[in-house]
Amino acid sequence: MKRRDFCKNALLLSTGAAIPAFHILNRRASRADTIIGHGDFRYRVQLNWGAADPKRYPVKDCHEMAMDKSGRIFMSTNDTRNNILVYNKDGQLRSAWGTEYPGAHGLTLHDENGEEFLYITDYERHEVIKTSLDGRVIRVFAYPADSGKYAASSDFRPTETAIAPNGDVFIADGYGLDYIVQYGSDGSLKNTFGGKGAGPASLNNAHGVALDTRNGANPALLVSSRVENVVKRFSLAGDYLDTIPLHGAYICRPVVQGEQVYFAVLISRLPWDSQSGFILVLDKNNRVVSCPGGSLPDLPGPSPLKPLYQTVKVFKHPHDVLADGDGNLYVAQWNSGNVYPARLERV
Amino acid sequence: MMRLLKSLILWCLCLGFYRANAQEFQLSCPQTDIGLFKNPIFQDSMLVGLWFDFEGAEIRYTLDGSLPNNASPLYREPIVIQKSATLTAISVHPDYRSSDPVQVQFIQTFDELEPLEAYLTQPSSALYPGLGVTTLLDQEKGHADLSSGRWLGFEGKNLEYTLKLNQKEQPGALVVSTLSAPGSWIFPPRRIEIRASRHKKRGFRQIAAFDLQASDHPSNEEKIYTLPLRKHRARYWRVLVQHYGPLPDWHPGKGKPAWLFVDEILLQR
Repeated sequence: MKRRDFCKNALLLSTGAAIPAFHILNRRASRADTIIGHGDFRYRVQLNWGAADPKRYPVKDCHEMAMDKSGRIFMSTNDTRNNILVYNKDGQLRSAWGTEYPGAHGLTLHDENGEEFLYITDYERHEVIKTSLDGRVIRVFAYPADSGKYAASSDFRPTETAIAPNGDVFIADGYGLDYIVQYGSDGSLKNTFGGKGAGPASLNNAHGVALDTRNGANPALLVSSRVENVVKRFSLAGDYLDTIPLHGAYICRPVVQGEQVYFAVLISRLPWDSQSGFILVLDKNNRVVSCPGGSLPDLPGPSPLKPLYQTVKVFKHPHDVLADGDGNLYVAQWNSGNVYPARLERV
Repeated sequence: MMRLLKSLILWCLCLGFYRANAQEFQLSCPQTDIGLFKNPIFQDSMLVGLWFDFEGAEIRYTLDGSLPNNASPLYREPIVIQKSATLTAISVHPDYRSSDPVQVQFIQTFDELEPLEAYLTQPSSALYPGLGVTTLLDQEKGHADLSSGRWLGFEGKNLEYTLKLNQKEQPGALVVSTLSAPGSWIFPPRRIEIRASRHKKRGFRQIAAFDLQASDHPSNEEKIYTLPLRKHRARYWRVLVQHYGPLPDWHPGKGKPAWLFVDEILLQR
């Protein structure tokens, strides 16, 4: 019997058969044993995984997370007393650095010939900063003045990066003009595509970009068009390929891990502070297979498709999800009462 | 023995209460097709659907504006709405705290007064122009999407709407449909006033005024105010919807003007 099946059966037994009547009063699911998600992607909620002393390690919005090859987890926050927090996998906060990133948002880790680097996307500084894992600044990618699309650096409010195998940096201008800007690793401007508009290749709130390496020979870019509730696929040359609809889900960045793509869904209904977020999992065919804390999509039928929605208030505004090699998830939240990241243990 | 039993029951209740408040997650509210596929302003009757896809959960509802509980009617199939009503629904589940209520106000318009003329004395903000004055008359509600073109938005200004009725008509109620979304700087109105005159431009005098209880912490909701009017005969009517004023101290935009959002103003017989 597979471990997962065993767990399911154990769960059935514990809620079904031999419970004395008195326990019925005590039966209600406590937070510690709440399981969320669907199908093969179910998780036990560990809300306090990353809890830390707010006097020592203050956070405002917890924006994004990335893991290095030794298993350390880096998290970006826009609190300039410590923009980057470094956790071990057990949720212990080991160190912190960074005081110069007022809009620390996107956080992408890239392995460059064995050495790992972070790319911090700062929408307040209007630039992307490449650093070593301990915060030494390596290079700054400023607004693409030569693209002809930007009148001033303040029009550029980037939210995310994806790094191509050759070191090219794709920057999503998600709070600015919604272009995807491609720089060479040396900082030379190579391409600008997407941008605001109504066409299929246009973007509206291009909040995230990720390299989709699941089809090894032919990687593509996944770009969130958050207000449209869709992911758009582009070739690395910037050609529009197709759209994955995620009706109702205001998705943050795509996170590719194994055969899946994970999303933190910030909200599932307007307004933006509706605290209606959840987590979403796509399978290798880009079908929604699980929504921890949310509903699954309807099967296609004659009636109009219903949007996805939050079902249980585990999260308020999830902003990023990190998946480790065992399929456990780590969730950072925006505008959620300065909470530290949570963990979803796969069961 | 009785005392022991009593204290045991009390203890269990307390434990239940404690667990219900501290330990369990809360459900989200049920979904409705109003705003997605349907408009809550109707003539004869309409069907409203609810759904909440969560194993073991059910939906309880009321139609009189009261808060539903576990004993309220169980939702089984789309509800027929035959007159103006307020639907309030919650999701309930034995293992989770019940959801906050979702509320939808339905307005029946069979006794609508159709104005002969209608205009806005002051235009709305250029950012939220809707369809101009038609927005107030089209009986299509706006919803959470502020840029749908179904809302008129006013930044720190009052709405002033004048309409001409057939002299014979005597409106019996005023209906004003508004939005409250504090995170988007949109706050509910403070006051609604209606004036009337025989003349288009002068001689307006107050027929009724309603001071609305504006909370310091309004919730996110679409709110329809239905206000009774004493019978009065006049040709010209002017509706004033007063904005909230400066944003309260707790708000990130503290001190700046709140927005007023209105999508329908109806006069009924």
